[in-house]
Amino acid sequence: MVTYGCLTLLFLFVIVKSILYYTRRTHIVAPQELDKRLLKLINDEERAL
Amino acid sequence: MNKKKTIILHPPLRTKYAYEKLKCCKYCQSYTVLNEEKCTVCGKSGLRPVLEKARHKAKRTQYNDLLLTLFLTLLAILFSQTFQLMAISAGAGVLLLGLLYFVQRQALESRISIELSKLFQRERGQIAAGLIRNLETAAALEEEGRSYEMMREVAVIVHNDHIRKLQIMLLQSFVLRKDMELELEPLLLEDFDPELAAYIGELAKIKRELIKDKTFQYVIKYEQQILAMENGKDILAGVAGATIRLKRYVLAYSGFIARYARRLSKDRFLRLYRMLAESPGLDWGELSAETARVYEEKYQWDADFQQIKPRSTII
Repeated sequence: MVTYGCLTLLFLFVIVKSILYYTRRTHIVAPQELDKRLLKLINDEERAL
Repeated sequence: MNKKKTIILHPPLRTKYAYEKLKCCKYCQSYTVLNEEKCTVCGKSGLRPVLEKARHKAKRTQYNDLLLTLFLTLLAILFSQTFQLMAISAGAGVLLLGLLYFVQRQALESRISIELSKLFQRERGQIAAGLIRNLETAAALEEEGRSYEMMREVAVIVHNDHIRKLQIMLLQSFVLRKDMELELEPLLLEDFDPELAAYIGELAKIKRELIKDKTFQYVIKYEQQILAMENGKDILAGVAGATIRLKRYVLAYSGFIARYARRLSKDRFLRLYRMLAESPGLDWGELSAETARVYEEKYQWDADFQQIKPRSTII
């Protein structure tokens, strides 16, 4: 019974993770956007200090 | 007495994006943008680019998923009561591990960019503290050239007038040369600053290609304050001379050039005269009349001007 439970869990885990990885594989934050975010965060933080 | 120092400025390490300059110590987690061998906080050689840190975090998350898959597979094998079930568990585990590994590889780049974005958000306080520490290190240095170079690195990420003023002050203490890696537009301030005006005046002499639209607009905005400076007219004439590089600038700032056309050097005036003579149909405003007046007064008999055939009756 434990084996079946483990196998079910294994299938579910891998399928869910694979779907998540697969759907998010194209959601890349562009380097320009990362740059913009960093500059905004740092300069806002710096003004607040 | 000239107190300016002769120094050598090293060219900055150029990166396509500002965040590529940011490094983090893997031992004490402090940040820096300076090109240092060792971390100045803990003294260890653990500095690595933030991109590498994000890659490491993304890979670790993926390894954890693989480890959990492996653990479940081993558990299933361990509790199998028959060899057949053991083989099925092992086969399923290997297959699923392979599938997960394949999908993870596809998603790695996306995961890294998301990790990096999260890292900036989560550690912005530490990053800001690191940059302030860098600035303090730069300000404390006695070697002014190195101090300027460090401030230039910090200013890639931190954009404020305080750093710009410090940079301008340092630049004004150097003997500026054409071969130096200088910059202007990133140093433009919100308010008028005589040191900045003097720096623009020097660049107008040695590197006028750095003077572009934003600088022309700054100079025109604070024209009266610059005029009130000791050598203000020379600065403005230098900037007016810099506009004569492109016809677009001359057309856009014709009124400003007209006010200082009389003080232009001969070569700049000759260029202006030629530009106007070659395009008589364009709307030069009052610049045409002023150029004609200066030409009549100063260069009418100059041989260099005789070679230009005016296509207009204005000149």
